[in-house]
Parts: sequence; structure tokens; C-alpha cells
Amino acid sequence: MSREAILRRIRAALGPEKEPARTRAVAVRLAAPPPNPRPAFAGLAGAERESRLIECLEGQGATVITIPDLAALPAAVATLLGSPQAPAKTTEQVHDTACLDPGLRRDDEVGNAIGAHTSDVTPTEVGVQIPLGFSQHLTRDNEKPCPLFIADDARFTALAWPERLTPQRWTPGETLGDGFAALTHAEAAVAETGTLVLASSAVSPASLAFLPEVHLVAVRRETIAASFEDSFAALAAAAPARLPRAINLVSGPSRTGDIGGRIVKGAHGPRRLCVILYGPPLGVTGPAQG
Amino acid sequence: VTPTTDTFKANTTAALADKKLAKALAGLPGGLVAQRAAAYARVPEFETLRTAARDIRDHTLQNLDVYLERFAAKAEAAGSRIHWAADAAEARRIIAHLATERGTRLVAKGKSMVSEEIGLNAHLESLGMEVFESDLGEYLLQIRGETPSHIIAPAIHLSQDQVEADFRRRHTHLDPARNLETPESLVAEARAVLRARFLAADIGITGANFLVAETGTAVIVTNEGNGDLSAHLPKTHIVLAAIDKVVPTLSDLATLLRVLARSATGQDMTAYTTLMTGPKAPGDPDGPEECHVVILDNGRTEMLRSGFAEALRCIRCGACLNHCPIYNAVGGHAYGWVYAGPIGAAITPAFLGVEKAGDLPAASTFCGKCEEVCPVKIPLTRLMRTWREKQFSSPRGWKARTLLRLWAFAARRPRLYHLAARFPIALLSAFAGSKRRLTRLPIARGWTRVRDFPAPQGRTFQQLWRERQRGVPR
Repeated sequence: MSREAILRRIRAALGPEKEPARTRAVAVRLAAPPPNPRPAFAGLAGAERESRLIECLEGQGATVITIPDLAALPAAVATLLGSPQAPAKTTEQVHDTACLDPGLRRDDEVGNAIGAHTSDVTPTEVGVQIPLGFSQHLTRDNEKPCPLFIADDARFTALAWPERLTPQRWTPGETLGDGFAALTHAEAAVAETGTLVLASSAVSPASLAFLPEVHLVAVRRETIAASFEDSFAALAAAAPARLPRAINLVSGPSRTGDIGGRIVKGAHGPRRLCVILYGPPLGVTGPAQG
Repeated sequence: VTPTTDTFKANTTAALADKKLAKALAGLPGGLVAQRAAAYARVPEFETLRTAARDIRDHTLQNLDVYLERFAAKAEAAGSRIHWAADAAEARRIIAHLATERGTRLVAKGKSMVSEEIGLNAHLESLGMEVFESDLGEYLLQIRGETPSHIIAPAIHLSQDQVEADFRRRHTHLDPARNLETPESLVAEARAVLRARFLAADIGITGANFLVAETGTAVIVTNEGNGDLSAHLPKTHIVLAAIDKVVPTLSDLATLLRVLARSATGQDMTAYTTLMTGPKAPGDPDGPEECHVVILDNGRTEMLRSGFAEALRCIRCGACLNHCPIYNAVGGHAYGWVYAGPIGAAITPAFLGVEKAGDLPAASTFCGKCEEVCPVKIPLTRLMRTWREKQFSSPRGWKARTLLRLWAFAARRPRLYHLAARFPIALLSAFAGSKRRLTRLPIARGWTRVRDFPAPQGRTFQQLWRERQRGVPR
């Protein structure tokens, strides 16, 4: 059998007589892993940590807003999806989103250099008060917000949604795509790189992060981790037998650079990523992580 | 893929004459290279991270048997099925068997260099299945019947105009008068065309950037989200990964992720990094019902044995390609097989043999930029030199060996050396004219075709040395 053949060849290369020593070395390292060197920005606490998350997310082209609690979520979603019925100022704090993706800017320059420049039609600069310029399907009819889908997640179904925005339950097989939005809840976020941590579960299908044109993600502020290590440790501690089937680390909307080296958003996954932070802020020391 | 590594010199000559290619490659230094530099500058601790990343890879490779067994056990415990493939043929057979057993007609493919290595698509197609590449770059190549020319930007050699022409030729069901002038419109078209296919696919096949031994997890790192659609939507997910992809723990994964995207595209993280552990869990609304992991050797154990283990540290970021003056001049296709650039030169001879691919390691200025930017510090120049030594002593190296022997014979006989050097030097100097340059040199046409040959000043070293000893002013 090839399993034995491959392992035998590896052992022959590494020294078959040293196998017990290797087994011991691995057991020791897995039981007590050596600490990783971590960049300083992966060890922030409190408000600094949250600022890092927001800065990085916006740098990747995501829109970030902060609301006091989940009860304020429907109004925030309405604002994000551009419903005319939405109150103008429902958010406690609206971050300035006039931060163009640095990657995008650089690639535009490359495009110029090789004569492939075209005007940037991706409106990453729009503020959240203005309805986001979705695909043509949505902008044609500004009166109606795009259909919003959620999974069977009580955190969302329990909320009071305005009638025009009432989310529909997503069922597997529904393709969503252009003109659709989906709302999911992140397990956590990682501040060091502006990364959302989505874990698949009965109430959180992995596909919902990839099928819609607009992906809205709710993040409880107390779950913002400083580093990947902290976040991974929390995930492993919560599911010691087996990790969630899919853990999606999402850092910005879908993108590609495959045509002429220029970054275009919405390659296969969402064109827009909107992050809604809610709940009490991180304490100065942060929550107990890992 | 039929390798053309044995015609490497002719490939490079053709590539250098290709103006479209030169234009496409001209964007590399300002694009990926500048972005990597900016990302590097944002992390003051980057060198420490590189050292740590190297140590993790070395530790894993030095205990590879134990970690592979650990990965297999954990993945099986999570409900995945593990298959071991000694070579390309066995991997093709395993995947074809899984696919036919399930009555597969359509296969969604995520980007995978290993699948190129084993020629997977052609094999599945020969069995009557339809395979679609879902990474946009790979899709473009599939339409054109080409192979990737870069590890992470497979279609980097194509211009926007070429893509537009291909889409018009291929997507004939769409309005011929549609506007495809911008990259945005081209991406939107590919998105729409491929979206329907994901949902119809019977199985999804992806590679893996990492296999985590501690948890039995396969990790893919992408920007488009195609890998995720290939992995989460079809009923069956097959992961194809080589034995060198394993890492011990999630914590080690964190270190490697910190250097991977920054080295590759200059992003702090790619848009999507996905950790997949087993098939759909009870209660999960989506996800594959079955998950298979095919673990491939295909020559890697031999690299481990024969002193090329350091090349197995590679995490396929492509930074060595972007920074290589040779790659920047000739592009990826000239290298003639799956892996291009310095890492291609360091590993291709191991896969195809030094007789077939021995010229690749010669294509280096040995400037060392590749190992300076390598996130896992692979000693690429040393590995290339080792292959050059092997080629030198192989039957193919007879020319070099004969010439060097002749030179050594003369070099040990000063009078003979002087005689042999004196006349050509005097002759060349006489023909050089007032500009002191030769525009044509019959015995070195390869040189003078593209540049002038500087004329020798007329006397040999021995003559100059004697004059100096006598105190003759120069």
C-alpha cells in the first residue's frame, strides 16, 4: 500500500533508527508548543486593538460601522443597504470610509505604467450614509433595498426588522449572487490583520460568506482578538474534539488581479463587505483569550 | 503536461523576442515587488518571522513521517478519508476512481499547482468528465489551452486585450455587442459564467496551502473565493496535497500566514483563508457530505533523501519569481514545466531528472535576491549550484567538462597559455577600430547579436605583468 511505501521512504531519508526520537520530539512539541514570535501589532489591547481592526478592514475595502447593541442592527443594515426608510443617524459612530484600499491605488499606478488604465468604477469611497452603489441591478431601483438573507440564527431572527427589510431564510441550493445581500455573525475578529473569523455551524453556513453580492457581518466587540494565535486557541478550546467544518478567515471583499494585474473586487465572492461592530467595547486588558 | 525543459535555451530565445510578454512582465517590479516591499516595511519583526517560519518548516520536514501520520489520524477522526499516492499516476487513478464512482459529470476545480504537476484535468477529461478551472487566471488559461506561467498569478503573461478576445470567442451565448473594455466588465462576465457552474458541479477539487497535523485541517488561501465555492457547494470535496504541506499546529499556521500573503502579493492577509476539517457536521446546513484528502509524494521523499529537503520548505508564495531578473525577462512558460523561476529551477530537475531539466538552474545571475525575499529562507542559489554540479558530471555536461579540461591543461603551462591567448587578443584588438568595440564576432554570434563585444586592449596578462615588473609605465 502506498501509505506504507511513502512513510517507509520518509523514514529511510530521516533515519529509521531515529523514529522513536522523532515520535518523542513531536509529542513534546505538540504538548508544549514553543511560543511564536509575534509582531507588536499582534499584541494590542483595548481601544488600540479595535482601532487596528477597523483600520485594517477599511484598508482592505470593507465598510465598518459601530452600533451600541444588536437591537440597533436592523437600522444599521437598512442604512448600509440604502433603504430610504432608514433613519439618517442610527449609528452611535460612523467611521470615515473615505479610505481607499492601498492595494487598489498601487495597482492603478501599475495599470498606468503598462498603459492599461481604466477609470476605477468601484465606489469604495462612498460613505455609509449614501446607499452603496451595488451592481446595476440594485442601483436601477433605489427605492427598494436588495433582498437580505440570513441563516436560522436566533440572534437575527429575534430582532425587530422593518417590513421592507425583513430578512429571508437562506436554504442550501439558493444561489443568491448579484443583487442579494446576506448577514452572518462572526465568531470573532482578529485585529492584527483586520480579519473576520467565521465558523460554520447549524446557524452559520459557510456558503453565505461567498454567495451574495453584499456580505454583512456582525461582530461582538468583546470577541476581537489581538492575534491569530489567540483566536485559534479560542476556537480549539470551544471545540476540543473537532474544529468547526469550515473556519473562514475573511479579510476584505473578494478580489482578483488576474486581468492585466489590476485589482478588481467581486471576483467570485462578495463585491462588498460591511462589518457591524456591536456591544460594549473591549476592556483595556481585553477579554481572556486562549 | 509534456515538459519542454530540455529545449530551455530555445524557449528563452523565443520568450525574449515576444513583445506582448515583455509588456505583460513589465508590470511586475512596480506591482508585486513594490507591494511586497511595502508589506515588509509595515512589519518591523519580519526577519524574526522568516526565521521562525523556516524553523517550523524544517522541524516538520525533519519529523515528516510522524506529522503525516498525525494529520491522517486527526483528519480521519474528523470524518475525512485519506488516500496516499506514491506518484502522479496513482493520484490520477485515485481521484478518477472517486469521481467515476460518484457518477461525476462536472468537476469544479480550485487553483492547485499539484494538479498541474499530475496532469489531472486532462486525465479526468479523457474519462468523459468536464472539468472547469474556477480561479479566474486558471480559467483564462483553460480557455486558451495554456499552462500557468506564475505560481500565484497564473495568467500574468496575458494582456487585457487577449482576455477580451478570448471571452468573445468563448462566450458566444452572450451579446456580441457587449462592452468588455474594463477589467471590471471582464471579471463580471467570468463571475456570471462560472457562478452557474459551481452549483451544477458534482465534485469540487482543491489543493491545500497547508495541512494542520494537530487538528486534521486542510487550509486554502485565496483572494477570489473560488476555492471556497469549489469546496463548500459540491457534495464531494477532494483535497489534493503533497506530503510537504503539513505543519504541526494552528499556532504554527499563524506564523506561516503572517509571511505568506505579505511575500506573495503584499497583502497582510489574502481575502480568504479557509480552514476545513472533515465533511459537513451533523446539523450543518451546507458543506460537502464527503471529504477526501489525497496525499501525494511524487518524488518529494527522494528530495528529502538526496539533500534537497530545504526546497520542500517552500510555501509557494511566488516572491522568488517576482524578484528574479531571469523570470522577469523570460516569463514562466520558458521554464518548460509547472514550476518557474528560482524555485522552479531548484525543484524541476528533481521531478524530471537532471538530463531533462538541467539547464534550468543555469538560468541564474546568482544575484541572490530570491533567497533574500524567500519567506522560509530556502538557499535557492546553493540548490541551483548543486544541480549545476550534477549536470556538469552527468553525460550532458561533456562539453563543459572537455572545455574546462583543455583550459586547465593550458593554464598549467604558462608558455602555451601565453601563446594561445596572445594571437586572439592581438587580432581582436586590431579589428576593433577606433571605438574599441566589435559589432560582429563569428565565434560568438550569440553575444554580438544583441550587444557589442568590448575589444581587448591588445596585450596578454603575462605581457602586462612583465612590463610592470620592469617598471614600464602603463
